[in-house]
Amino acid sequence: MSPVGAEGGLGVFVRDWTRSVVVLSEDGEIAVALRDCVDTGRAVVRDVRPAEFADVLAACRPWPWMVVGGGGDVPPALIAAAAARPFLVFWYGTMPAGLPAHARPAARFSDLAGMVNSALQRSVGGMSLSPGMGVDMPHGRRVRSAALEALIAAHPDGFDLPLQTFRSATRVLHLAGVPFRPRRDRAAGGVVLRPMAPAQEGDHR
Amino acid sequence: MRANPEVLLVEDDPDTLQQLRGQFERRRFHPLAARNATRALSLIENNRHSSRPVLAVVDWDLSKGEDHRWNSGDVLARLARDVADCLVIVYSQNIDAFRVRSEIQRAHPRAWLHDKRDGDTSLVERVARLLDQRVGDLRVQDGAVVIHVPSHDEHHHREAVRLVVHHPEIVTFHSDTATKAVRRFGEWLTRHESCVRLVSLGNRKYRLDVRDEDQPAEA
Repeated sequence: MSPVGAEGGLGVFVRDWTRSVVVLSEDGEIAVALRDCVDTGRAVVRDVRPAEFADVLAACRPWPWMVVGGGGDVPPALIAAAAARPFLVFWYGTMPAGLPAHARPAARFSDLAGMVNSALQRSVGGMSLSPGMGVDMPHGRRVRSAALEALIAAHPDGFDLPLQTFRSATRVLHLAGVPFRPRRDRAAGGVVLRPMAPAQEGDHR
Repeated sequence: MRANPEVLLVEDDPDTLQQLRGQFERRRFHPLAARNATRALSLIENNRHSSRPVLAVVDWDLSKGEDHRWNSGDVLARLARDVADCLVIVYSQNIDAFRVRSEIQRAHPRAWLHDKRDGDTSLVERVARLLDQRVGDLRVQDGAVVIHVPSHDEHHHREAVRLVVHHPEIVTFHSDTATKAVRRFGEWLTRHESCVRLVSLGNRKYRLDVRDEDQPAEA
């Protein structure tokens, strides 16, 4: 068999389930700089061009954990994906039109790097992101739910998405017996992770 | 059972390649050496179903090689796609140039970067730091052997090394031979009453789990 190298595409488009920070830029500079300050054991940085967003979206299973962008153009595929799936969106510089309400701007690169690292290291109710993928629960158990990973990383902010988008998070929280649930919170601007009131325990709708 | 871990070495300068080969042989690795990308891709392809390198050291600039059908980016992309659990170090004289870094990271998002100007010794020390992991009461020595520290017993299979250096990540094994070796490693851990246990996640996926010292072993 002849050696086969390039025709399968760049490694950045390899499908896998590892937590992904997709970085969109025309020249790769933001991705290179972010890669130097992000714990790569916790997330893989995928350096892509805006025109490649649809391809990288298909590669990140089940969807990207975070999308970081810069510049004035937003790929239409990003607008569509952010309206359907819970992932964090951070934008370096002025945010262009079309991004979801839960997107957050960063005026300086140091702010952006701080936001990414804070999201990776955030802990809510004893839950935190496991290295690579999944969530470490308070009693040492590890669960898989991309929606729960997004809620923890965004806390105390939320996502401007329908509550049913977070069904998998509700299910794993119920099964693990953790008294937090996704709740719509107008003040926080969308669906956030909230402690349950005692009367709600056992609720897993 | 012994199975020394393979290391893929891709370097177009024959003297440097020979030095690297010697350095890794002394550390009980089995080097798969290539002077061009075409040869490296053949080695990856030929080993895909039998053994897979635990580590790859790739020179970014392969311009001295005689065969230019493929380049180091093709090798990195192939490693990212087909040997995702192989630790990859890319070294270059121009590693500071952001264009080079972007090209490397697009070819292999998990590749570690190393400055060639720091010399071979620095590279080998970097490899040692990357591979000499400690998980619970286990330690990887010289990147090639897993040692149960309390008993000083050694386990010499590359798949055991792969699991320890990737802890706490999940590792997918791609052959019956590899999964049998992993299960034998799990039995070895149990026999040694290690605080580390093998967790099977189905579909040939495994990871190591470290039990708290104050928790009893599971029945």
